[in-house]
Amino acid sequence: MKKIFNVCSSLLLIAFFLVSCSQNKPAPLNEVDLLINNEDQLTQVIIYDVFTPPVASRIYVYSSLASYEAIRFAKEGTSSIAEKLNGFGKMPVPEKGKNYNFSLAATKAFFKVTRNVKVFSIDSLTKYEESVYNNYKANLDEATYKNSIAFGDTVASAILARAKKDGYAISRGKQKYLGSNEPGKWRPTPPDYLDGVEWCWNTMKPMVLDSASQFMPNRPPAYETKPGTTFYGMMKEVYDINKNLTDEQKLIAKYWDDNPFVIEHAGHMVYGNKKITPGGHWIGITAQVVKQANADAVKSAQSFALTAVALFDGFISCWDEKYRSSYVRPVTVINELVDKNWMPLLQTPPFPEYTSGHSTITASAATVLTKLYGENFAFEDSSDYHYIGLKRKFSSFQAAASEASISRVYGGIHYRLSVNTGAEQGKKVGGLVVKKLLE
Amino acid sequence: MGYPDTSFSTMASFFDYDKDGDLDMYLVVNEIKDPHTPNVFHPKDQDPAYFSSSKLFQNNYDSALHHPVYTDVSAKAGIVREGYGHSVVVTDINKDGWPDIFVTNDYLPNDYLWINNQDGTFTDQLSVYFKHSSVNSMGVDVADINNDGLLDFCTLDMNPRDNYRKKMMLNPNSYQTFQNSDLYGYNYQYVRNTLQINQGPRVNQNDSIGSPIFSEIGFLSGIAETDWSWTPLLVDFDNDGHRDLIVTNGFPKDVTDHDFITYRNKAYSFATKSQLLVEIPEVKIHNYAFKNNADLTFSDVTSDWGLKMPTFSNGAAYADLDNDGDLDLIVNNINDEASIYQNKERQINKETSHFLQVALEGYDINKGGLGAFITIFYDKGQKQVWENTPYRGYLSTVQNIAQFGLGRVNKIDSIQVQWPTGEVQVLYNPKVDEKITIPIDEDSYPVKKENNVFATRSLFKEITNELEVHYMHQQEDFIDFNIQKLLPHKFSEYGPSIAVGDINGDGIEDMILGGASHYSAQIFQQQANGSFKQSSLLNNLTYASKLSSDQGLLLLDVDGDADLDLYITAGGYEFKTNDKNYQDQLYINNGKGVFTKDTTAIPLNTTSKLCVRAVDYDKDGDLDLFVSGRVDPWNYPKPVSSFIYRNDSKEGKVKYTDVTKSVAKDLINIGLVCDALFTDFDNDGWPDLIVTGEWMPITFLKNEKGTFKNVTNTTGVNNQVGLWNTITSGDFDNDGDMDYIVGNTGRNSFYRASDIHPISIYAKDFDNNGSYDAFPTLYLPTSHTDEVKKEYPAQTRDDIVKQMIGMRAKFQNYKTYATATKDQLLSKEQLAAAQVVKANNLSSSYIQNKGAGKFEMTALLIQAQFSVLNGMQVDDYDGDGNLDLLINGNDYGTEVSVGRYDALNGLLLKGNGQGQFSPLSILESGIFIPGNGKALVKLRGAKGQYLMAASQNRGPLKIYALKKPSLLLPILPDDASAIIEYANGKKRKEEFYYGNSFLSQSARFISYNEKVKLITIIDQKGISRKNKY
Repeated sequence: MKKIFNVCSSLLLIAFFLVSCSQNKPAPLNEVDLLINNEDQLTQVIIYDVFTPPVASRIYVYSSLASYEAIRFAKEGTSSIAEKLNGFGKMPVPEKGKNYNFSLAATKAFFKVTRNVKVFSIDSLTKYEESVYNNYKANLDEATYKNSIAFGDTVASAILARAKKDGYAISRGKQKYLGSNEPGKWRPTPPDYLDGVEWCWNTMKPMVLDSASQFMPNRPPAYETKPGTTFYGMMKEVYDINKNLTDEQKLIAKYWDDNPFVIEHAGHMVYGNKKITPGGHWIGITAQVVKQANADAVKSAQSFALTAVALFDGFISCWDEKYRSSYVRPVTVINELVDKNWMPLLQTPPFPEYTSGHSTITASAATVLTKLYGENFAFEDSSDYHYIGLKRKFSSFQAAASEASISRVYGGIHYRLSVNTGAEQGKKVGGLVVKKLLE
Repeated sequence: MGYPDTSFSTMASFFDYDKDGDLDMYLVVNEIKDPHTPNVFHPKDQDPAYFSSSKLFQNNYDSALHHPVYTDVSAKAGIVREGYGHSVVVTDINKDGWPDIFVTNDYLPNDYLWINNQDGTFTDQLSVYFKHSSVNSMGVDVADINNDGLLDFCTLDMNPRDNYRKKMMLNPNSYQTFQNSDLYGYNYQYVRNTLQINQGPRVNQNDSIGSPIFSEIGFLSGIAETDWSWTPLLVDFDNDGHRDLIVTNGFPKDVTDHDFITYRNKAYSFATKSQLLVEIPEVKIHNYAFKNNADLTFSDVTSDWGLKMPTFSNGAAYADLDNDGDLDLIVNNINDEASIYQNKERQINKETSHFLQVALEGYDINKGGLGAFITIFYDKGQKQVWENTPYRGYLSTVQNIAQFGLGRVNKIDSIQVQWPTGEVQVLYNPKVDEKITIPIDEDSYPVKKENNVFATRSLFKEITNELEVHYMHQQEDFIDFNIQKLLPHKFSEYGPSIAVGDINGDGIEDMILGGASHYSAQIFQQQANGSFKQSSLLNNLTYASKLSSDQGLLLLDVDGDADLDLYITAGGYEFKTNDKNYQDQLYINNGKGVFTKDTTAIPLNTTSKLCVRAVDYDKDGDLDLFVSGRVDPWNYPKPVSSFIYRNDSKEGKVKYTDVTKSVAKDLINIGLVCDALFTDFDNDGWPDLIVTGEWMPITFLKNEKGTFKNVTNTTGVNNQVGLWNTITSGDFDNDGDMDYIVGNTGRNSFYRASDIHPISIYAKDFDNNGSYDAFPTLYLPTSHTDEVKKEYPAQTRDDIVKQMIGMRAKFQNYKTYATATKDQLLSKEQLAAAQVVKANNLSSSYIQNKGAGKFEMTALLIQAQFSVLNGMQVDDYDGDGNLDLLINGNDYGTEVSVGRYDALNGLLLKGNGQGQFSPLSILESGIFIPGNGKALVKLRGAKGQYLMAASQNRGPLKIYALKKPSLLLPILPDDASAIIEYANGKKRKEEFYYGNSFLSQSARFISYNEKVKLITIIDQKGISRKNKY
C-alpha cells in the first residue's frame, strides 16, 4: 500500500535529482507533463491545507488562467481567455524581439498566483518550483530565462488584480451561518455539526455568468412530513436506497465522495481523512485527458483554464441556490421522521442540500470537456488513486458526470431531484462557458 | 447468582434500592458499536435493551440456596437510556431515605441522576438538580466538601490546565451544541471538571420545599482543569477536617491532538489503523492533588504532596494501609506498575491531624452497612458527614471505613449513625485518634422523619401565582458570536428590565417590563386586591414592526404634570452600528396610565444603550437624564459615549437636550458603560454620578454645581479595572455616607484576572475587511512541564481563523499556534495600532466610603463570586437594624466553550452593620431565582406588603413578599435622601433614586420598624422634614 502514495508525484523530482547529480545539462522538461505536475502540486497543497470546495475552485481558476495567459504565446494566434471573462483587463503580451520560454513563464505565473490567492503551506511548493526553475536555468540562456520569469510575473500580476477585487477578501469577515431550526430548513448535520460553508459565495464575481443567480433553478418541493407528499417520497427514496445499497452503488458513492476532509470518529479518537475536492477531481480528469489526447502545451493549458472556469462559475451558481433555499439534508429529516439512528454512507458535507454541488460543477466541467474533446471520449480516471486507491473507466465525460451525480443519492446526502436539478444547472453554466469562450 | 451478563460493563455499585434489606446492584455499561456515533444528538430515551445502556439488578435472596439471585430489572425500573458510562455513585441526594444513583456518561449523552421513586422505579432528574455538567464525564465522587452536611459532587472531564495542551486538544466554540441541546432536551455540558455544590433544597411558591439545587463552581474552586482525568477522590488526606481532592489522569495516546487530526502526514483513507496509531503523540502527565482551603476553593499541592511523577493513571483508591490514621493512596498505571503513596501526615504533623475512623458492622445480608449515613458533632457545632459506600471514583472500591480528619480538635461530642433501614443510633464522647467499630445496635431507634414540606422560617415567600402574575419573558435567539466570533459574551440577552411606579394615579404601585425585539414592553397594573393585570404597552400592530430591543426603563415625570412618563433605552447588538433601531423612546402618560410616544422630545442618538437614570443634577426643579452607551454593535470593544440629557421642557412642551459636551465631557468615549447611579458620594448636597462598565475602573464623576468632573484618580479605587456590571448603594457601616456594592463577572470563570495576570482584548480591523477583530487574551501556564504563566490568546486556532483568515497562514498548524503568546499572535506594528483594554479584578466588591472622596474596595464573600451579579437591592430585610443585600444574577449569554454563568440562584447576604456579610441558604432566605436573572426591584403591595420582583431572561417573572411585617413610608418625587435613627443611637443614611442597579428601577419608599425613632427626609433642594416615631 505504502508504495502507491509516492509513485506519480515523485517521478519527476527523482528524474531531476538523477540528472543534476550527473553534472550534465538536465534533460529538458516535457511541457505538458510540467503543466500537469503544476496542477498536481497545487492539488496536494489544497488537500493538505483543507480548503473547502468553493475556495479550492477559486485557487484553481486564477492559477490555471495565469498559466494559460502566459503559455498561449507559444502558439501564434491563440487568443486570451481572461479578456473575455468578467473583470479582467487587457492581458500582458511579450516584448517583441526578446526571447522567451513560455512554459517557464506559465509555471512562474501559475505559482505566483497560487501563492497570492492564497494557499498556506507553501514550503512544499517552493521546493518543487525551485527544481523546475533550476532545470530551465541549466537549459536556457540567461536572458531568455530572465525574460520568461519576468513575463510570468507580469501575467500573474494582471490576473491577481482581478482576484483582489472579486469579493473574496470581504467575505472572509462575514458572519457564521448556522441555519435554522425551522422545519425543512438546513441546520448543521452530524457528526460534527459544522457551520455552513461559504454562505456568501454568491457575492463572488463570476467569470462568465452575468450574476450568481443567472441560472436559478426552480423552487424545491415544499417540506411536508406526511407519507404520500412529494417531499416525503423524495426523502424516503434516499432512505430506502441507502438501506439496500449494492456493492457497486457503495463503490460509486465512495468513488465520487470527493469530500476533502472527512472527520472520522472512533471513540475519543478523531482523525481527518483527506482527499481531492470535486473540483480537484475534474482538474485531475483534465490532466489525464490532455495526456491521452496528446494535446500540445497550449491546448493543455487551455483545457485546464476552461475546466477551472466552468468549475468556478458552477460553484457560484450552485452556492447561490444552496443558501437561497437553505434546504434540509436527508440525515436531519430521516433521523426525525424515519429512523433516529440512521447515518448516511457518506458524511454529509456542511452546507445546505439544494442543489447538489457535485452534480452542478461536474456537469459544467463535463460540458466544457465534451466540447474540447468530443462526445465519446473514453478514459480511465485515476485522479483519486493516491487518496482512495480506486480507478474507474468511463465511456464519455457525460457518463462520468451522470455517475458522479447519482453517487450523491447512493451516498445518502442528496435527494434525486437535487442531483438532477444540479446537473441541469451545471449544463447551463458549462454551456455558457462554451458559448462565450469556444464558439 | 442469576444469569451471566455479557454487556460491556465498567463499574458496579451494590446498594439496597428497594429497601428490602439485601444489596441490589447497578451496572454501568459502555459500548460503542458502528454505526452509532456517541457524539450524535438524538432523543434521549432509547429502546429497552439498547446495547449501551446501564442496568439495574435486583437481589432476590434465596434463603434455601443461601445466596442472592440477581435479576435484570432495568426496563421495569425505567433505566432505559443511551449512555457510555464510566462510573457510578449511590447517594441519597434528596434525603428522602431512599438511595439515588448518579452515573457519569462519556461523550454527548448526559450523565444520569436516577432519583428513586420509592416504588421500584427511577426517574432521571439530572437537569432538575444540575444546571450543567461535564461532557466527557469520567469518574465521580460525592462527599461534603464544605461541611454543611450536604453532599457535593465532583465529576471529571478532559480539559488541560496549560495553554499548550488546551490549544492542541480543545475544540472550537460551537453554538450549534447549545442549539442542539435545546432541540433534543439535553442538559448543557462543558469540557471541564465540575464541582457541584449542594445548595440544599429549593423553595418554591408559597414556601413549598422542593428538590435540592446545585451550583457548579469548578473554575472558582480551582479544580476544573486537570487534563484527561479519570478518578476523583474526595476525602480528607491531611486530616484537617476538610475533604481534599486527588485526581488521576493520563491516556497513552493523545487521540484528540489537533495536528494529528488535521495535519498528519498522508492523511488519506488509505492508511491503516496501525499506521495511524504510530502517528499519535504520547505525553505522560502527573496526577493532581488539591488541598481544601475550607472556603470552597482548593490549592494545587501536587508537588508538596509528592504526586509529581508523570504516569498514565486511571483507577485509584484510598485506604489506611499502615493503620496510622491517615489515608494512603493506591493508583493504577497503564503499562506500568501500580503506585502506592504512603501518607506521612500523622508522622509529620501529629498535633494538627487528629482523626477518627469509623467502621460499621451491619446485619447479615448487608454486613458492611452500605447506605448508612454517619454524622459527627464536635468543636461547638461543627459537623462532618459520611455516606457509607465504598464504590467511588472510577472502576474502584475504597476502604469501607469512614475517615474523619479533625485537625487540632481532639474531642468529639457525638457520632450519629443512621442505618439504611432508617434507624438511628448515637454514641457520645468517643475517643479520637483511633478506629472504632460500631455494630448495629438493638437500641437504635427509628428516626422521626423530618417532614419539612414548608419553609416556615424563610425571610421571603414567593407569591407570584397568588398575585396572578404569569409572565414568561420571551425573545428570539440572536447569536452575537456569529458576527464577532471571539466575543466573550452576548449583548442581546440583557432584558427584561423592570420599572416600578404608580402609572395610573390610583395610589398603588405598578410595574413595566421591557420587551425584546418583536415584543412589546408589558405593563402590570396592580389592582386594589394586590393582584396584577398585564397588558401590552404597544398595540399588536406596532409591535410586529418593532425591531428595537428595550433595555433600560425609567418611570419619571418629565413634564411636571405629576404623573409618571416612560423612557425606554434601545440597545443590543442585533443591528449594525448606528442603526435607527438603537433610537430611544419617550412615552408621555395622560395621567391614567395611557402612554403616547413623543417623537420630538429626546435627542436623536443611535448608540446601543443600556441604563437610564434621572436626577435634578442642576437643581432647576426638573428631572434630567443619564443614558449609558453600552457597546458599539459589531465593533466590540470600541469605546462609546454615555450622555447627559438636560430637561429643557417649557410650558408642557417636553424637550431634552444633549449637554454631555458642556456638563460631562468625560463621558465622551468613556467606554462600555453597563450601569450608573446618581448618588451624593461626597455628602455635599449635589448628586454626583458613578458609572460602572466593562474594562473600566469604577468611575466617579463629582457634581460641581451642575457640571460633572471625573475624580476617579483620587478615589483610591481607580486601579481596580473590571467588567463592572451593576452598582447599588447602602450605608452598610452606619456612618452617614453611602457605600456601594459593585457587581462584576465573579470568579467562577475561565477568565481569571489579577494585577500581574490581567485579562485583555487587542482589537482593530487588522485585515481591513470591515470586521472588527477583537482577540481576548489571558494568562495561562505555558505547558505541562513549564508552569510559568504567559499571556495567550483565549480561544482556539479554529476560532481565531474564523475571525481573521490571515491567522490560517500565520499559524500553519496547531502546534505553532499552541506556543504563540499574544506577541506572536499579533505583530509589533499590529499591537501598536490596536485598541487595548485590560481588566485586573473580576470580583464583585464592596466599596466602603471612607469620606473626603476616598474609598476602599474589598471583594464580596465567595458565595457572591459564583456568577455575574445583575439586579441588586439593599434593605434591612431581617429587621436587625443593619442593611442586607439581595442579588439576582447569572449570564447565559457567554461564549459556548466557557459556558453559562449559572451558579447563582438569587442570593441574600445578611449585613452585620460593619460592611461585612454572611450568606443565607435558599431555605433561610426563601429566595430562589435559578435562571438567567436580570432586574430586581422593590415595591409596595396594595395590602402594605413589602414585595420584591425579579426578572429572568427567557424565564418567569417572580414576586416575593417579605414575611415579617414592616412599615413602609412613601416619599415625594423630589426627595433625595433620609437619615434613619434608631432608638439605640444607630444612624444610617439612605438615598432615593430614579433607577438603581442593573436594568432596575424600584419604588420610592422607606421601610422601617419599631426600633426606628426618627426619619429625617431631605429633598433635592436640601430642605428637610422629620418623622418621629
